[in-house]
Amino acid sequence: MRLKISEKLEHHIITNHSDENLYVADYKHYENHYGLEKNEGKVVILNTFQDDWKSVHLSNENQVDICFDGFEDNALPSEAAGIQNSQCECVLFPNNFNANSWILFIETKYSASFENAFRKENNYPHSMTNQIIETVKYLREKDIIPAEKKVHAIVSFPNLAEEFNSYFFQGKEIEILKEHKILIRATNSALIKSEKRITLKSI
Amino acid sequence: MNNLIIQNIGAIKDIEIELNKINIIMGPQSSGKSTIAKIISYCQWVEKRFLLDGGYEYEFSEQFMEFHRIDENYFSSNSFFKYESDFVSISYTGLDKKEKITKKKRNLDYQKSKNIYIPAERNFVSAIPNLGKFKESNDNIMSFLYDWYDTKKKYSKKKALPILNLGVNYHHIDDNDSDILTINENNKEISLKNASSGLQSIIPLTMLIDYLSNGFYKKKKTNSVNEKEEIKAIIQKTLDDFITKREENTDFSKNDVNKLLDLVGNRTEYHFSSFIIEEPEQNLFPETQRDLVYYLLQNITNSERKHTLTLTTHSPYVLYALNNCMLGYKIKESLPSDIKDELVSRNSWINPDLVSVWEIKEGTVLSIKDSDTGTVRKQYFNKVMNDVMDEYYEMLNYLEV
Repeated sequence: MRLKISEKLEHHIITNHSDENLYVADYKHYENHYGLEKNEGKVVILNTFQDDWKSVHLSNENQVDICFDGFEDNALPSEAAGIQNSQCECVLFPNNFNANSWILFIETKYSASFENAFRKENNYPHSMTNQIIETVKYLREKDIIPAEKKVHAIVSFPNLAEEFNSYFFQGKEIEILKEHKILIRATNSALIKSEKRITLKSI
Repeated sequence: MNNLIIQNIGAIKDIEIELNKINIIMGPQSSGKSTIAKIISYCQWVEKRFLLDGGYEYEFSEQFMEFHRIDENYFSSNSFFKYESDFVSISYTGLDKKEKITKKKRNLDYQKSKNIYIPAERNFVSAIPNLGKFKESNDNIMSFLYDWYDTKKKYSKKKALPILNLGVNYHHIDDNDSDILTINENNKEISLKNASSGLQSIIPLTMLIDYLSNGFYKKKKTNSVNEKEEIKAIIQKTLDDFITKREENTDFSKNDVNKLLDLVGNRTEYHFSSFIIEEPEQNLFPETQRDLVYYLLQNITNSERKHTLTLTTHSPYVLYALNNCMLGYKIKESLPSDIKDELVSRNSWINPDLVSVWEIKEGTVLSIKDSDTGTVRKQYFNKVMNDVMDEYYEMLNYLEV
């Protein structure tokens, strides 16, 4: 899969990680807060927990070698001029990728309150889910992901999930799984068990 | 408020709670919910007997261990519980349950209460006929059975009890000790012993709530010999004090006389009921659980009497219903009357300050109320839901679609 991304999306930078704990954070969110150097809108993956950063935690107790592709702005170029494809924030998969390996997509929103998160104009979770669906669809069309392969996805509210994440999809996760072969959960964490197994945890 | 401390008894490691008008104790199986409820029930009973009888001469092993079916292994050398009200302090310490009961200054203001413990095993009174023939034993199940027998006689065919919104009325036929349900839709009658498990669970519960929060107070009750003796002793002592006052040339005032009359009234009449109910949700569909909570709160909060209610529960639906009652109270001033009329919970709204909700976790308790809204924190519901969803998501990994 790594090779296919490199061939078909040349500008993507894929990094390898095998730490027991990995944290995916929206760098842009903290870039604004901490005056950090710009990184083209990418999320970042860290191997140490930053006390004051909220992130998606990936527990990797068996230290599986993982590839991380944090998407820059306009990471999924369209062949049609002037059109920008909708995209989520990153994709992760085992380095020794095969037909049985997992693939994980992540989209995060740093809403500070329940009220903000569920403002009508934000259209959550639909807009977040849609970003993931569009990303998966794009990669399937590019034959980077096999058409029938089931993938995993996380929509994350790092500041908030413990308040409401179980009520996020209300059964729609089955429709998304059926229609798009995406097993999606609103959560801030996942457990990587092996190159074949990943579990989307509750919070 | 009454304060309760429990340390190292059964699954309970260390808790301290202030008892409120409504107390909800949530927790998984074997977490110690019932232990807390049983200790509250026991202490309320000791308080009543100690103050009304002028002393407590009962055996702890019979009145607590046997009555509430508590195993000896629940206790260790560092076990302790203490109940403190405005009127008494009651404590038991260690493996030998060293007892200490003391009166407080305000003990003469104590008002006699009707204490009722409704155990999780309540269905049996509905399901098994001719229970009156069973051998007597001294435990909370038999005590509940006696209350059931006393109470159901009040519900003749003319005074049938409607059961929530289920379209069913209960009545009792005294001649042959029959418990009969009438289905309102077709006016057909069935015996309670042949009814659904949900009805068998809910009928004894709603009947006792209905009677003990209302009808019970309309009938004159007699007092026990011990109670009468203690009242006599208190009157004697008060009169002695009056005489002493007179000897000291201090007249007793009208106020002193009123106080004495109040004291007699406090002790000879029942003033309120303390309900303790284990798992009210048993065998009930979620919608019926909701209606039962509304029913309980309607009866308990709409009375002028200061009834109290303590529930143990596993059910998030019970908490959802309770939340509606607390939220309704909070927003009632800004709610248009036509909208209010549409809300099923409208007669059950309760000030959130009068409700405490605790989750038992690893032998300790945690309040799960939101300090801003006064309602149960949404994080709690989310956690309960997530516990189920974890397994669901694990299995979705293998679902072929």
